[in-house]
Amino acid sequence: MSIELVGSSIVTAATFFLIPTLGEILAERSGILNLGVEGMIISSAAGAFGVAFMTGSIVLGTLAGMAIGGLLAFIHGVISITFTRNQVVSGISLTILGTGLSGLLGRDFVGSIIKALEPVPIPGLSAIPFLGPVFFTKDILVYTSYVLVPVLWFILFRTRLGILIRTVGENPTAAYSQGVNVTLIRYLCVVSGGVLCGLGGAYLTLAWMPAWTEGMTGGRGWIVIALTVVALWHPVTAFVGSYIFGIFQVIQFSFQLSGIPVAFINMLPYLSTITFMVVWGILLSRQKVRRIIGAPSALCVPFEKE
Amino acid sequence: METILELRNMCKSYYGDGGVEIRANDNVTFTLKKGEIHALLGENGAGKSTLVMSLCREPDSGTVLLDGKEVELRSPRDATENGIGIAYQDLSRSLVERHTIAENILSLSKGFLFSLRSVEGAVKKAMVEYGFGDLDPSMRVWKLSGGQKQRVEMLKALITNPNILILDEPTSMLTPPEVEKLFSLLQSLKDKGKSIVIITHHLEEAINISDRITVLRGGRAVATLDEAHVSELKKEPEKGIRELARLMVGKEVLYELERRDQSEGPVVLTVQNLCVNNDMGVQVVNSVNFEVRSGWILGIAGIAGNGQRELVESLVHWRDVTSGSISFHGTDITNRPIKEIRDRGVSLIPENRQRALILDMSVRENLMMSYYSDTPGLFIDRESMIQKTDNLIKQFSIDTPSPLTPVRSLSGGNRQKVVVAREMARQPSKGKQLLLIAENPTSGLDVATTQFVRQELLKMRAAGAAVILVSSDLTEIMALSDVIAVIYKGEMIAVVDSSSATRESVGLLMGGVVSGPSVPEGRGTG
Amino acid sequence: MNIRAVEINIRKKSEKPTFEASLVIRVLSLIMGLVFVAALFLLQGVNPLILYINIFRYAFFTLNGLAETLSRVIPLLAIAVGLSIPFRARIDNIGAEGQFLMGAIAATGVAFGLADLPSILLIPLMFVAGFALGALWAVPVAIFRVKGQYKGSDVVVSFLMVFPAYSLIQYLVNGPWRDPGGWGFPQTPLFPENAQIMQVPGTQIHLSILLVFALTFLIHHYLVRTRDGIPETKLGYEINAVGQNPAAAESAGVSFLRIALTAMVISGGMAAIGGVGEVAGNLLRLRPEISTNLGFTGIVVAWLGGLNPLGIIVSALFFSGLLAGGVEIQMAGLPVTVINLFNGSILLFVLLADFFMKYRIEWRVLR
Repeated sequence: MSIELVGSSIVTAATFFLIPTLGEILAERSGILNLGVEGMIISSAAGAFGVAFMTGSIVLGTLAGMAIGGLLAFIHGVISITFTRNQVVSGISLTILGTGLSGLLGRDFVGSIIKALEPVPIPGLSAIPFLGPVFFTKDILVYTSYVLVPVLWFILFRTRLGILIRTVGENPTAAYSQGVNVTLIRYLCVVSGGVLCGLGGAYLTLAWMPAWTEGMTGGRGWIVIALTVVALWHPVTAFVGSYIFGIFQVIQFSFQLSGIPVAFINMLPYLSTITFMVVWGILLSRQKVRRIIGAPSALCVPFEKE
Repeated sequence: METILELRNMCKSYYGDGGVEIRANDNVTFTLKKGEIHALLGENGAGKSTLVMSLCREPDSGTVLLDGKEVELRSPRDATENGIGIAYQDLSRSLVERHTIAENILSLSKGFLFSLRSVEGAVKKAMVEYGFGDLDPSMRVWKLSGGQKQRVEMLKALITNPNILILDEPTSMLTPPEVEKLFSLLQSLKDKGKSIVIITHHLEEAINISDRITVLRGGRAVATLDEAHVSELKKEPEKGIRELARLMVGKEVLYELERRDQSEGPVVLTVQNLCVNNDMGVQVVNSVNFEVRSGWILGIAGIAGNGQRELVESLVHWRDVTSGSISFHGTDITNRPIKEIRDRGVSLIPENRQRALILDMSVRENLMMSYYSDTPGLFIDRESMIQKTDNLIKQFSIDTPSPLTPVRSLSGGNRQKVVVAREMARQPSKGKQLLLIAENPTSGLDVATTQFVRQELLKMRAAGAAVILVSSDLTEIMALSDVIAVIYKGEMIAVVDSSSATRESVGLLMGGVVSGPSVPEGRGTG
Repeated sequence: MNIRAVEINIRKKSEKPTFEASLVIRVLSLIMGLVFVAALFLLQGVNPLILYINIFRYAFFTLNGLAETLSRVIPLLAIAVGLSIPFRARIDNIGAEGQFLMGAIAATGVAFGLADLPSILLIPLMFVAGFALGALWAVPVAIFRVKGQYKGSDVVVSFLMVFPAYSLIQYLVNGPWRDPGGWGFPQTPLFPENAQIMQVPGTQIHLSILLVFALTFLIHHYLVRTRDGIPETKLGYEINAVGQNPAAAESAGVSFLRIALTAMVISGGMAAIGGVGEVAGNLLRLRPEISTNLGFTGIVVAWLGGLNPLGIIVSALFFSGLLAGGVEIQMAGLPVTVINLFNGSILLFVLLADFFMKYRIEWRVLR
């Protein structure tokens, strides 16, 4: 297998992790923990595929996926923000709901085939040896992910909206007393996060593996949540982290040719995620680290005005 | 001078007490004249902060008039838009520790983009203008001292260029020279035509700086002293303090507590070279030494934020000791498990009431917390628990409809009684005395409960327990302690016998003023 | 009449909801969940009313269905009662599926490995082994909950541990444990006679139902029930304390780690007992199909039952009916995973109901 093909598959796999992770980073930066990522991704994947199959338009399918993700995230927002209920349980409910929803939405399309999103080589850049075929001869969603990283970075760290988001996530009372509409910002971030999850789901069934089967995500949505931590809530490190996991995914496939039983190879992403979480947990427990980086201080804490 | 702000017939009540209504503001009317400095005085819980909060949220009833026109201020944003700037008391809810000073001042980043450089520039300019020039806007807030944080908070309010400035307890963490600087700043603001409300419970400061004074007590405005009256007070501050105290508390003799002389008992607790870090990893207790004897009350006096909380938490291992040792009845208890320390006979009435009570559990279950594991084995001895908790309720006069009422339904005073009862009635092993640590045990309580708690502390002392009283209330310290230790910036800068200490001398020490003939010889620090 | 606005005031209630009120609200959330899913079904062209009636009729009013329902109760009750304990301590164990599977694996291993032992020894041994392995599988969740530095780490880890368990089954039934005479199907051989749990003849209800119900009542009596406001055991008291205010509990000397570990051991063990029963009493051989979303369903059952074992019995019966009616769902052309729609939406409404139990909404018309 040519190294370029390997590299290209890594990019494909990584993009699936990257887009929802960026969304989750946005949500968590505003203080909302969205554990419904898995449900949002998988139901968007099914919905996107169904719509694309029925209408023949990938664009409509993608939009449908984003809408589903956004809608589910909105429900999470209502329960967590307006009703200030437990964000963990709310997120879990949405994952469960989303899993069921995916079955419902995708039931007529199991085994159907659509024309996948075509790769579009970028003129000029795609001619670079190695980097060209690997990074610059991909489909438009992959390019979107490249753009999203600096855009999210810019929003969070170079715009007024970004400092507001970050303050809301660290100390919403401080933001509120300075006139910030905490509720609006949280809703914005949570729903945007959901939309990006939906985009990731659409990517799965419209670009990566253009088909629909139940349980396609294989629980990888949960890896997104772990990735948010591994990325230390920063878009650039999210990029690095997603690519590391992309590498793991591809290694998985290549190991299948060795003698190790498939089952153990399948455990790899989950066990490696847990390992990352242990290491990061130890790292983040150090006071000197925590005062500079770490989870937003108000993460998962409902904001009540009085 | 015309009135620029008027709060008329303000009412705000809190419920959640089994139907009992706590009137935080009971028909309060407060006026602020243009260009004046008006002090709002009152004990903890008198309703000062609540009154001011009515400027950023809707009260139950009442009207707010700005320049004679009625306005509706429903959120902090409304307040800012109407030219009111507020510097809050509770900095943990006002500042983001992880961010820099510049990042904390949100009002500066206008428009779409956020350029750190331009914001820092604007902050620097404002700092110089208001006399805070020694702070670096790119510094992270967690690195700042308490006084510096308070100045950042004030800057946040000033930078919006408000016409009306409200300062809630702005001097609680300032040293005397810093207080001086603040007051000259307030004077210059007043000269520029700003109107200022300063909320405080420091009587001398109020007399010093204000033109008029309003006193709140129990949710009501009991007096508004006009300019003439206040200038009288300025001439004779000692008399003025007494008069204000009377208004604040409601009776001439404040404390009828009897602290009888008793002979010294043996040393029960020895603390040596103790060093403790705060949540951000900064060392806030610097090599502290002291000892406590049975039958003593050691009062640790100090302005809030000088390391007392971390010190107390390290004694019971709610927080790690980084170096040094704590020895109790001769055994080293440094960093031992919390349960072990408690079982050995250390009780704590914490300042943070969230950590002391489980609000949704009943009074009985909360009282049980200290005793449920007394009997060995897996099971709880129900009979004994019922008996014990019923006794405690009676003994400490806890006002509750039934032992099974959730603590959430109790008033603040009664909740504290539950904590007090639970911690004081513990019996360590035979022959050993209890060490009771009380951290600001009466803050925010009504007068009756405050009196009750103080009397109970004295009772414990008489029974031979060793008591550490940490308080930022100097009167409380003076009335209750046998020995007073003053903590300043994490160090015990003096340990003095309470009989030879005066309010003034301790007050100076609390502000870090160590040298000078008014500091008496202290008992050894061990 | 000049109506300026309606002012809505949300006030935190000071009294605990009465038993009747919380019962009514729970039933309401159940109904709302069913209505919500019905709406989804309608949008997808499925007739919900007929579907619901069919499920209900089959599950509770036909002998076959009733037997199926009761057989589903066994693992579901075990899992849900087990879950109620860490949930009370605010530990979110969503990996019950994995612990359930590990129980099944352990039972299979013991059944074949020690097949010579008499039934009277073998079956209890299977349960013990299952409990141990399920508990072991659950311990990391406790550790992450206590030592994890970020919110939700226990949730993520607990779910992540489900997949290795599932993969392990895949490996075992395709590899070393495969049935040699099974034409290559991924499954183990039939359990030896003495490893099989006796069934009520003609049904798939096996005697572990007695064990599960016994455990349910034991847990209720010793950990949940209070008399004069006091629970029976210290553990019960500590679990409540830790769940409601971990900081205060810690200050009183309760070790969060100890409680978390105990809670997860019980939870993992209970789920595993469900797994043992399922494989040794129902399926009688280990197959990947043993995993049927019971872990997720157990979560909803636990919350709907108010985290009280007695209430959970009732909600478990309801959901077992739903699971048994799975065959009707399939006949309507829907995949079985659709049951998660019920799980998810009912849980959302239970969450909402929690809000209405804690807050009173007052409204008045202004001017």
